[in-house]
Amino acid sequence: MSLSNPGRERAARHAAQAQEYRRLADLLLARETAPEAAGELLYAAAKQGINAVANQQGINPAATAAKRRFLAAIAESAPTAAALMDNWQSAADLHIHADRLHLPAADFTKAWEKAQAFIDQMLAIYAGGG
Amino acid sequence: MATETAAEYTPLEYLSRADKELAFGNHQKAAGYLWKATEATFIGLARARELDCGDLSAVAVALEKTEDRKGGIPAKQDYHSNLIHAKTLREHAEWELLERYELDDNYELTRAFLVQCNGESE
Repeated sequence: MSLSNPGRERAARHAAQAQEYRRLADLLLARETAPEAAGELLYAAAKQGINAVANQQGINPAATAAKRRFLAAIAESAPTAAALMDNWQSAADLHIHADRLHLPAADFTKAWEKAQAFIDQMLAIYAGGG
Repeated sequence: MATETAAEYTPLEYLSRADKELAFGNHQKAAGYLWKATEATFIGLARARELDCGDLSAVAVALEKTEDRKGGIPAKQDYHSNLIHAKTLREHAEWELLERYELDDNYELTRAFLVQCNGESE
């Protein structure tokens, strides 16, 4: 009997990707040449965080819409996750900013901080076993 | 850029128009009205506190420093983030950037913020 669990293996891979994408986003932001690209990468890290938690629970939300539905379900079932959708929206704001460059520096910094908080939340849920 | 003349209607009137447009499936118009509701809300909050409303981001930061949250917005709310979400709606109103589920998320959050600030529209 195989001891492997494809869902958990995928979850671990996505959690590692979330951390790596975030590390790269931080590096890119520090270079101060393309903060909007750093923001897009942080949005990708946020999506990987969702994947990690979802895969851990045996769910595989491939499309972003499915990720969002999974996230909404988490937010409804976890009172401590009240800010989850707000933080996710901040990551989405960064995603739109990469296209439109519509956020002045103060707004970008705020959205960045909240997107980071979202990734922290996802990785904490993952580390707690989903 | 916000201006003193930006608000033709009250925030609740904008909110009501946004809801009607959304119900008709006019999601870009709805997003535009929700942005205008947010803008008008922040201008109103700034005027009430004699803050310069030329830079709404600065207004949001100032509000977070001064607001008495006991009688105002609950601590879980966040003026600055909600302003940023609304700015993304403003972009959608012009450029149709968001998928419908993305719009719904943002709309729901921004609408809830506006209701907390202004009350429910009729």
